[in-house]
Amino acid sequence: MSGSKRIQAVLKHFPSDQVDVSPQSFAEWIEEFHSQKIRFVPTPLPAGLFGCCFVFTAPDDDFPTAMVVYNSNLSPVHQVHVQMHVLAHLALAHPTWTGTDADMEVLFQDPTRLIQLVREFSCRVTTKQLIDGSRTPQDQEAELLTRLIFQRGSVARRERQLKHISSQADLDEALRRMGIE
Amino acid sequence: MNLSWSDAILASLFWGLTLYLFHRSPNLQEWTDRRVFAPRLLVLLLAISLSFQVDPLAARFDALVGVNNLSWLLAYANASAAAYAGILAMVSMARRTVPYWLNAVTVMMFLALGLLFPSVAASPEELHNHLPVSASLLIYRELLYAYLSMMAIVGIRIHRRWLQQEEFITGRLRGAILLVSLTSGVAFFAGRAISSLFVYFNPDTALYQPLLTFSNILAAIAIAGLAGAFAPPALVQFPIRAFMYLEQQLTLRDLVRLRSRISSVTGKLPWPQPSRRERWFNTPFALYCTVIEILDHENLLRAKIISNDPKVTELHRRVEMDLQDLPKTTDWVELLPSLRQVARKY
Repeated sequence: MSGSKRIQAVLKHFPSDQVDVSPQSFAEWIEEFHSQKIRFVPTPLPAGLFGCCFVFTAPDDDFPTAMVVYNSNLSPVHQVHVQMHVLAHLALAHPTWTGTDADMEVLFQDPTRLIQLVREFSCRVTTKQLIDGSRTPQDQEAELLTRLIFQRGSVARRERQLKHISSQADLDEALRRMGIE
Repeated sequence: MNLSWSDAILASLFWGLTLYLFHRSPNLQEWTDRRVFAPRLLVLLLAISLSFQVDPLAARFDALVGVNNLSWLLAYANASAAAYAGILAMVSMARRTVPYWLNAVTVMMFLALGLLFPSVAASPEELHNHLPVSASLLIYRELLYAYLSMMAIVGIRIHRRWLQQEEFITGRLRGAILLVSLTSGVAFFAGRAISSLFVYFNPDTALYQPLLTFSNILAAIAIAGLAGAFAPPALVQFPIRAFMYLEQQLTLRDLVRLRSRISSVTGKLPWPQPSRRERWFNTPFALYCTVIEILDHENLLRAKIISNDPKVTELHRRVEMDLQDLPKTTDWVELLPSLRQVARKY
């Protein structure tokens, strides 16, 4: 399946044209659609790093768990985008680091190793700094999906605003009852 | 004498608006809700008041009834009642009541209109769209202008509080139109009050026609603006969309410039760029892409600053500091004005 078809498949099934699309709503959809658990892990990473995804399976779990690691030093808007981008990788079934829950525990106890892995598996590096260019098409695909989701959400919000007379519910209701609609 | 077409058009505008609002919702239960019936009353009373000010029909009405300047009393009483209905509508929307002092002033206004009318009726018939000839009508006018100025100022104060709380562009545009209307109204009333006095004491002044024309323009803006505030959403969508598109294009231009300032140090990111078609016809998408790339570059720039990269200049450090001060919001649309301010500095 080509990249754009994978993106279209996700957009077809994920209700992205809603005003309140968020990493949480996207994660809930992925959990249901891909039978996977998702946990968000805000982590203070060095400047220049963004986020990454690690997937592990614990012995007692029926489904794998995806840890969405994102740099908590980024601005709030940027954090939301990075979370969505990482989730987009999951939604598009891109390969990433996988291991067991024991591997995950070791990883999070070793910040240096964690940062190194984030650097290896992370996107959002400039073309000069790419360690492994083979992941670039996947990064571009995930980024495009993320941007399209936010674009649909902002269009939905704008259309909702244009349909309403006022953001103040009482006033909106009174003007409609007066006949202005 | 020729019909005063401008007055006739303004009166027709409000009759049309009255019919539109009454036709849209004939449910009688609506009349128990002040928030609904007060604005309708405002529109109806204004239509009646403006109708009684159309020259020479007003004079013919007075001649028919046999009372000089009766149309002045009817026009001014309806205008005062309309202003009160407007304030009643505004305070009802905010779920409050009209202050006692305003009720008292309004009662005094109606009493004054009634008590002064005998002297007005004793004066020769005057046309509405002319500056005053007789002292009694001059006083009548000044009284009305003072009352309506006061009501318009009260309306502006109430309305500005609303406008500050309004989040949607549709509401802000409608509110801005109403604010322009009220402000023009105050300017008209104040201007007419002053020019009436001036012309009364200087009847041969060459400024007569310019003063009359200027005050008529202000009146037209005030009345048309008030009608515009009642426009259905479908009518205001086109100017809103046009305004939004223009603002988005200007913002995009500024942000693209900011991005290229930073990326000269951080390098090119591997993201596909919006096509030319998307930049022109899907501007929100192009804007979002640019915002995120600016934030990406900002993070990479910070890494370069920390590692003392020789390519980083003082300008880049200032840009990075300014970008650190952006509002802490998760809504990218809320970042746009601040990003644009940063872009304009560089």
